[in-house]
Amino acid sequence: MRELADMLSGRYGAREWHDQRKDLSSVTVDASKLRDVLTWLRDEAGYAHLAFATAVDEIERKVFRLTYTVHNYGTAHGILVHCEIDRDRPVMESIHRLWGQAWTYQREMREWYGIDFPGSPRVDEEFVLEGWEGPPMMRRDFDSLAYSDATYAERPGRETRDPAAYMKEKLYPEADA
Amino acid sequence: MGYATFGEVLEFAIGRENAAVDFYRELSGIAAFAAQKSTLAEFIAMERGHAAMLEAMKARGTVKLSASTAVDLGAARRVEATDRPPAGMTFQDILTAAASKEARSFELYGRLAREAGDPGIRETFERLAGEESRHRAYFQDLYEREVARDN
Amino acid sequence: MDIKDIIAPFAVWKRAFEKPFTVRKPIDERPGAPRYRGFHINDADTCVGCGTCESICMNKAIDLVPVEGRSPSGGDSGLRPRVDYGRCCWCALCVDICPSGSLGMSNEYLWIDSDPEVFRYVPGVDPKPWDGAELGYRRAEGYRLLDMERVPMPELSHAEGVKSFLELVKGYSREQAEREADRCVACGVCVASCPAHMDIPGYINAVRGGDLETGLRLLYETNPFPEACGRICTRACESACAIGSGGDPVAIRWLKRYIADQVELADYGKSLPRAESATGRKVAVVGAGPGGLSAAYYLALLGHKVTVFEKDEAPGGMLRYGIPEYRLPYPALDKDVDYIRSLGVEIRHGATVGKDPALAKLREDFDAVYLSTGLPSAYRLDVPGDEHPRVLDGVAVLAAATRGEELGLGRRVAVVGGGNVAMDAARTALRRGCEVDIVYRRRQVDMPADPEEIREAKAEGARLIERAIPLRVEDSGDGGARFVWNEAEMVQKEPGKRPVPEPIPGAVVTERYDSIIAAIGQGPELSYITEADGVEVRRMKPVTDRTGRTSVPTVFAGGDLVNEKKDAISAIADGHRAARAIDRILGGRGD
Repeated sequence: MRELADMLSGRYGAREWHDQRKDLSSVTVDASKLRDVLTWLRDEAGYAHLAFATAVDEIERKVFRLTYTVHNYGTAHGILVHCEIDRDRPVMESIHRLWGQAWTYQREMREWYGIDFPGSPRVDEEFVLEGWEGPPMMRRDFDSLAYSDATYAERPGRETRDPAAYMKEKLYPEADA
Repeated sequence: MGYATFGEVLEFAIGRENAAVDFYRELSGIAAFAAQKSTLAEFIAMERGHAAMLEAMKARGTVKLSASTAVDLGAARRVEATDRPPAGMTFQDILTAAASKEARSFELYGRLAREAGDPGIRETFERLAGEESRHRAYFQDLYEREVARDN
Repeated sequence: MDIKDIIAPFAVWKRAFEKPFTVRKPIDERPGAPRYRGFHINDADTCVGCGTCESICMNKAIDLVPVEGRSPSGGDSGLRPRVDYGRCCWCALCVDICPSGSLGMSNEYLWIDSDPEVFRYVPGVDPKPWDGAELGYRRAEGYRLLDMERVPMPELSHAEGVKSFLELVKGYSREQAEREADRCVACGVCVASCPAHMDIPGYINAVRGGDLETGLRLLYETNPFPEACGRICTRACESACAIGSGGDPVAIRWLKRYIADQVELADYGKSLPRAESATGRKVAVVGAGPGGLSAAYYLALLGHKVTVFEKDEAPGGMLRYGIPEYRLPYPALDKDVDYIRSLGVEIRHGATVGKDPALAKLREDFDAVYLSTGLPSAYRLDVPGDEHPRVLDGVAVLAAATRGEELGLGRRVAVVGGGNVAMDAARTALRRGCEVDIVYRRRQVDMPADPEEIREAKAEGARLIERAIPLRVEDSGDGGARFVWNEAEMVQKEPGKRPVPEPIPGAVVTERYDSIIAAIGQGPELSYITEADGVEVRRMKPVTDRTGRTSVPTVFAGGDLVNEKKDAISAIADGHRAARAIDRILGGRGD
């Protein structure tokens, strides 16, 4: 595994190699090198399968952290390849030519995080949110309450009690008398 | 006096309750301040209630008493002067005196109940003993709550 | 055509009776994953109704609602969370934050109904098929969004502490206080437990925000003894704290102390309200303890002229003469009292009401009188020989220690009782170099004293003798006394009541002591109320209504003398309540 780590770091400047489990490692690369890294892993290192791709909104650091999981059936080993893109310019190179199914994950990320993958088939179509008009809802600054209040009518019958006020009413209502 | 009628037994009991009233009255006489007096007044009211209950029970029947118990009857009419609290009595003093007085009444009625041949009279004494026992428990409870809080 | 092509279709028939790899349609069972976030479940008995789930819910999907058969008490608001599945996004933050850990999620996610109203229910109260589900989402072991451990309070070591009367508890630094304040979820469940109903979430929030002026103002709204209560309060609030349902309760008492400690007395006036203009009405307060001075403070704020009559030479009552200075140093107490005095409250020392002046005189000279004379004397042991000169009154021993008098306890001391007076007397004796036995009729768990005090008394070297029923005191013939007790066993006599110590026949123990300190309980001193005063007294307590008014309309009473709790904060609350009631009879609005 060390060999693979050294190879990736030497060729592509990959860093932070970490063996999470015996059968799973992770590594971080620059977004601009991602496609090359994945291509090399697929064609030269036996990681033929793209298992998953998703994003995490690291709003504090103003980045989206993208993760691509590739798998080597020969060695039953997986690698999580991380890269980061600017949260204010959420555009990432598409990898649908490497793995056909990648466009599905990219379409999902487009809908949920607002990350664009130019050239990816059907990337602007609805994924699971039918008729969604709000901002990408997995972004951490998405205010679900404000969205709900603006979008849906309140169903009558909702009421809540403040514990301290309720206890006062029940236990010592005379205190202000 | 080896024999007593049921009426006499009740008379005795009533006399005893009245003696208790007198006991608290006497204490009240030496009480130095209002709070002591009002506490004793409350106990007097309790004993008066007992006496009234007994008056209402006055009925027929006889009871056979042993000689020693008969002697006790006479002695018990007088309230023991031994643990009479001092003039500056505290709540503790008053409750202690009251509880020990109730305890003695309980023992006496219990003995009378055991010696009474007639079931009706035995039952009466047992009831009286029960009353006194509840009284004593009341005073002890009051003592636990108000005096010996940290004990 | 090859023979194989003909046989092949039949070859698969051999599998016809095997279990199929495919799933039959329609699919009936689709269980959620073991940790699936399905419909909520709640252990309604463990839940304390703090509403932290409601606060954290980012979609406002949770309401706190009253439920059948539960009423508020202690640390339980009686409310329970109701989830609206029209809003819930299944994020499970409510489960992750729940202080008591009562809230969870089943792995059930299928629920079909044509009535939209049903998708709003109180988990654990409204019965659902998934109640008690084993599977589903739970907060992961060791994963807590709340900090369940209290910021440790710096204290003198026991070995160091017992050598002097220096204050043991050092107090929080700003960083520590703010970190501790940050543990509070501001649910407010504690407020009902405080006899004075202090705005606890309010002043903790002030600590968190570094706004101590607001903090001090909030403290004084209900309690003019923050320095004292910040040290010695019985802190019923902490027992009620919702964080305590799953960890250490927030150190509410220490945070109160932090506020008062941080603000200089000279700066108090900047944050605290000024007295209203003088009304010309006069009120006498009997007793300068926390209750009397609390009444004095609030009466003075309302513009009344207050004179406090105090038999002792210094103010503070039991806070000064009953609580040792290692728990409440005199300068801290003085700070509280001095602020009350600064409002124009006059304290007349050496004035024993009943002797001089008489209560009748006060009733004549003042528009109203507040009686807050407390429980000044210890009851005797109530065993034969308890008038032996070596049997001492625990309250008197503590007062003598405050006055700096020579206690003359000797070497071996027995303290009889299990309350705070007993613990304070024991620890005072330890600091005077005595060997101390605490002799108690029941077990340690039955002791009414603060568990912390019991623990500390033992840590400082006191020996606890449990289940010892005093029998008598005898003269030892060498200047000491022999204390005789009967060892006891605890017997549960009546179900529901506390167990009673029963003497074990023949198990009689005799120990020789130089002093035996009686601390089994304290009684009132009521000789100053005469029959002519007309104040109704029942069982040695003035009879009062809930405002503290006695049978005489201008005479009020409160504090240990009257209430059941018999602690400083209850006396302070009584004083405040009476001050408002007195204000009303003097023509004010009483607020």
